[in-house]
Amino acid sequence: MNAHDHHPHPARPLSEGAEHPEDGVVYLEDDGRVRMWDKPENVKKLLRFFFIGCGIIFALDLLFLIHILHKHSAFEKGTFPIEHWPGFYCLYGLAACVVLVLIAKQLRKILMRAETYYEDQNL
Amino acid sequence: MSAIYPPLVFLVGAAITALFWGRSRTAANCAYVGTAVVALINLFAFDMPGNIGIDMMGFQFELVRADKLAMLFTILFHIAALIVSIYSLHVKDVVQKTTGLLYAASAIGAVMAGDLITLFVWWELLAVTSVFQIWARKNKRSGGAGMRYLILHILSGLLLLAGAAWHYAETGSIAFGGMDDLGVFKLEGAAAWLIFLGFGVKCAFPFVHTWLVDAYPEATPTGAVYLCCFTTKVAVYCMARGYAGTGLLITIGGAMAMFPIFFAVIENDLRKVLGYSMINQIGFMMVGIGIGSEWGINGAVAHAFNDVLFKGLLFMSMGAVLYRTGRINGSDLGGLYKTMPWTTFFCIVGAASISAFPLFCGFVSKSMIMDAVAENGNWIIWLMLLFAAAGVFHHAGIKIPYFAFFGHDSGIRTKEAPLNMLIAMGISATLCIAIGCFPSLLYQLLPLDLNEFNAYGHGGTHVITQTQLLFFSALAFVTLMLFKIYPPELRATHLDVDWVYRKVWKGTYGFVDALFNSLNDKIHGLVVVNGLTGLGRFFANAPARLLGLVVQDRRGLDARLRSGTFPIGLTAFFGMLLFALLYFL
Repeated sequence: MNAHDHHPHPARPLSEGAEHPEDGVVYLEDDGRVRMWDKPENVKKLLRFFFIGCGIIFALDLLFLIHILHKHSAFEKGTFPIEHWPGFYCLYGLAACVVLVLIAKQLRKILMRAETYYEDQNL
Repeated sequence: MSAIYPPLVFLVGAAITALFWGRSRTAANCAYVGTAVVALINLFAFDMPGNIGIDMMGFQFELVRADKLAMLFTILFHIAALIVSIYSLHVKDVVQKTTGLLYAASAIGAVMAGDLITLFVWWELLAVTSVFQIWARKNKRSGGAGMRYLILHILSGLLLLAGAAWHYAETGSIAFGGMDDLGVFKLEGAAAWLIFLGFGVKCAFPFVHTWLVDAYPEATPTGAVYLCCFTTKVAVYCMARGYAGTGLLITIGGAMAMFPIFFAVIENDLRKVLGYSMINQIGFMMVGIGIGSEWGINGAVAHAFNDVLFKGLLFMSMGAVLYRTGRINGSDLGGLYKTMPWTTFFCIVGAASISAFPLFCGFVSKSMIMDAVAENGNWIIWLMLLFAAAGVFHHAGIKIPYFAFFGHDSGIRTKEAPLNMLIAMGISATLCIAIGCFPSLLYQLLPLDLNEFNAYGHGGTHVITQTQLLFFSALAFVTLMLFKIYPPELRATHLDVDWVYRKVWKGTYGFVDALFNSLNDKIHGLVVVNGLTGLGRFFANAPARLLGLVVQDRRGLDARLRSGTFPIGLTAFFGMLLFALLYFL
């Protein structure tokens, strides 16, 4: 993602997908301005803030642990203690998305076909 | 002064728009947007009678049943109609505009209907008027997708009609519950099952969900926004009215919340991703309705309300991208934030809302459903929904804005979306944030007692846990991206259940077609070509042959017969002769 990364020629409209080429579709030449995320240092800065943010948010569970904040039980007391484990929501979110992506990647092996797979169909 | 029947305002508006179109585009466009404005005034400025009924053919039809649940959806559809009509103001196709207004009228008519027959009429109109938003794309793909969409929706209507007839035969009543009735039907007996399945098709239950992800991406840029506002929300309303507290819905809803997110991760067409994410959100609503407690039902309908706002907003931002670039595949897009900054901003607001970030509208309704599930003690479903909540942030919250507006720079430089689109997106975004910050705006419309629910209460537990869940889902995305494990966007078709009827059924159809048509050909050859023409020739020639027996010049007659120049006069003469003979005999 930097200023020299983009294509030498602006992309042309594709015929399929464009409903009426004259309607609304606009392609302009690049004006050469360097924008915010063209600079790799900005991307790095954002990522650094994000990782620090994740650390702080993970640490919020400490407030529950040392009883500065009281964690409200969603479930009736004692029926589902897992929700009170420190870091449960963080780790569950992380694990869920990794598992989701890994399964989806495998799914692609079974389900992926050429883009024109249904093109000869009428119904 | 009493109010006008709300759908009527839209029907008249559609007629005026169509009438003015040929004479003055400006007047027609004023009528188009004015319709929704007048309808809103009609709704709020006058006292709506709670019930409007008419007696016809011995039936009591209840056109209006304005209790809290129905009014919530009526208000929602009025707001949606205003936003979408502003969004689609620039469209140069009068058919899309008029059918759009008729579509809004059908949705409002359906949620106000107090009996099953009135509901059925609006239900079918909902299908018929909405398909034009797909067909208006006017290409082969949209033609086929629209037809498949229509077939499933007509099927849904027929199931509803059959159920209603059965119900009438059993109970002698066509009423769809009385005022403030929820959970009208128990899932026992054929009538209740038929109606349940009829609603289920429109709710995009698993295996019949294909109409949604098949048709929405093929609609016009503005058409997809229309579609996402009305059809499924009418179905959610009907499910809440008819089957609140039906345990089966918890299981179905759990499945609906889970399975689409896997498809959404690998799908390239960004509007199809939104289609899958819509099924996922309806899954949350089905779970809430299935639980049937105050929090469950309130959470479900509140989420339906918010879903129209944030999913509409996401469809609008993707529509703007499609309108400006002619492309919608993630693999073709990227870097659009440079030239479409406002659209990018609105898309991020929609993404934050659907992901249920605190201070955005999804949060105040989704946390209510989660609490309802926990209160019910169903921890398996609770974990599934938590997984789905993380997943929806992953594919709708991050993937949509990232691949369209950031990510790999596609080199496309275009213009910002037209002003009318920006205004419509602005209204939606404002409502998303307003409801997120001041949930009482929405909570006061909810049909049941809230039991002091407060998403921001409980020492901020919801705020903290939800933020933790979302940040670490994002962390997963960032990590997988950095390590290049994340599946790239590929130009491809991914199979779904519609493969069964689009390929297997086509194959079966082809086989049956070949078998029976060849059989048909043989029989046709035997009977029609040889048999019947032989018979025909016999009857055609018989008079001449008989004649030949009495007439001397047989050769001349034969020649005339072959060349078909048998004089008409002669035929007429013999005809007369025949009649004369018959008369005398």
